[in-house]
Amino acid sequence: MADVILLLSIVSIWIAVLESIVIMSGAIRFVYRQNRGVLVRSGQLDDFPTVTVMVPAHNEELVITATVEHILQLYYPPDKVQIIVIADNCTDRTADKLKALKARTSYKDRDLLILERTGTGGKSGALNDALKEATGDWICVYDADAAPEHNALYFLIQKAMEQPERYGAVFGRNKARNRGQNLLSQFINLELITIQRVHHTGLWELFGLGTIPGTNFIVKRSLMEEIGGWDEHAITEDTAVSFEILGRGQLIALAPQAEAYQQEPERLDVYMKQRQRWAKGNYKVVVDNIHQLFNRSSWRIKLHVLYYAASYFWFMVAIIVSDLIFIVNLVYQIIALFHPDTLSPFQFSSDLYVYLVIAWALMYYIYVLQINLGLATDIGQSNVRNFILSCVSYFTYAQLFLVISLLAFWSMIVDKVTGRQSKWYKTKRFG
Amino acid sequence: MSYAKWFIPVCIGVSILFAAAVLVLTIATLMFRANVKKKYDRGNFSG
Repeated sequence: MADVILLLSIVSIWIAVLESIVIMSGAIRFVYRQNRGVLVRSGQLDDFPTVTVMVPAHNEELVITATVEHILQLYYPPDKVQIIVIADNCTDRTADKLKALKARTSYKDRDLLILERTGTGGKSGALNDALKEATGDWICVYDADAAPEHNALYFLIQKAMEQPERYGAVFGRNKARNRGQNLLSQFINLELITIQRVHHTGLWELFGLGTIPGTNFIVKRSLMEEIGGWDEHAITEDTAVSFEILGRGQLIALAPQAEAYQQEPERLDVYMKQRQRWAKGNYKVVVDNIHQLFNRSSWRIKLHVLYYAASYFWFMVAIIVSDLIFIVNLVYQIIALFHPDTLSPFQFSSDLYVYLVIAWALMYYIYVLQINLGLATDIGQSNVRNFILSCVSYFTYAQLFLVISLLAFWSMIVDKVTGRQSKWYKTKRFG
Repeated sequence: MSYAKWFIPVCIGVSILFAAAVLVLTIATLMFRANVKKKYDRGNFSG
């Protein structure tokens, strides 16, 4: 039995390493190509389409004014931008702050709609209500804490215009604006960089595969209407919409220059709640879409399902099992120092245990390497401090993912058994 | 265990292949970092 577990662990870690090697190869090809190119911003925006920027806001008085100001100042013809800010079930001064902003003379000519709603459905419900009022050809979504860079919307639309028939959505990159706040936000920053600058680029470069994040993306209005809007029962509405878009044969393209800053959790309890929601939402998406592996859906969808299933189920189990083997053996070796007759329950034939250690070492090495490739692509981030953090994060921050995954998995099982409805948890902002 | 006979050579082969791939990726990453650092003179920034 111990040998079977060991074999499965080794093979699973190999697959995880292979996935990382493939994705990283794509990311390296992408960044080399991007580094050779010249960044050009055209002044000719006459042919650009109209856009509705939607900002769902639930009790966001701390951040909403700054966010909407960033959006009002985006480089895009003002007459082609409609802005809808949804004050969703607010019990604070979010709507008052928005009204005060709209009243400013500098914005009197702007198409800014403040939608105060008391309906259900959380963020998806707010976006669906805004969709009914939207007039733009494309819908752009920013979270209430977003600070898009001046050219972010321009670069999103520029990418869409490359192949408007093929690209159903385009997503940019999000950066942590509070990355230096504390150790947790520094670790989150490393994770964000790795996911966005290695995984997203690698998957896009090699397979034309993308997933829209919750913020800083555009999607065709006609496509969203065809899908029927955002799923109000989905916990991670962005991943659910991504599958819908891919299922319609449209691509979700990456516009790497479209960057926006967002606020990341600064406290562990806030972080755990946010990530549990994400993990749970992604489990649900995998469970809802696993059938796509066996039907006549496109290879892109199958790959997407596999990527999510592997990340959230298979590799997680493999890492937990290999961690257990390590810890149990370590404990037994220490006990054996005092009681030489004690034997570990994980006794392996031959030198197989050595190959588990080698596989694990390779996985750790490529984990650190991926982070440092991501850091190298972001100006000012490839420094000694971040390198040290990348080395220790596997043993500290990354292990939180296991706890989060297990808690989310347990919560999902309880939901299924008891019929409990999942609650949408809004991430707490910091002033 | 009989499977060890064939599984150990597989382990050696896969480990060598992966190690070689990781080495190539490391060199590519370091070269890219050096290029970018030279291009943007990143010593002037702090992160």
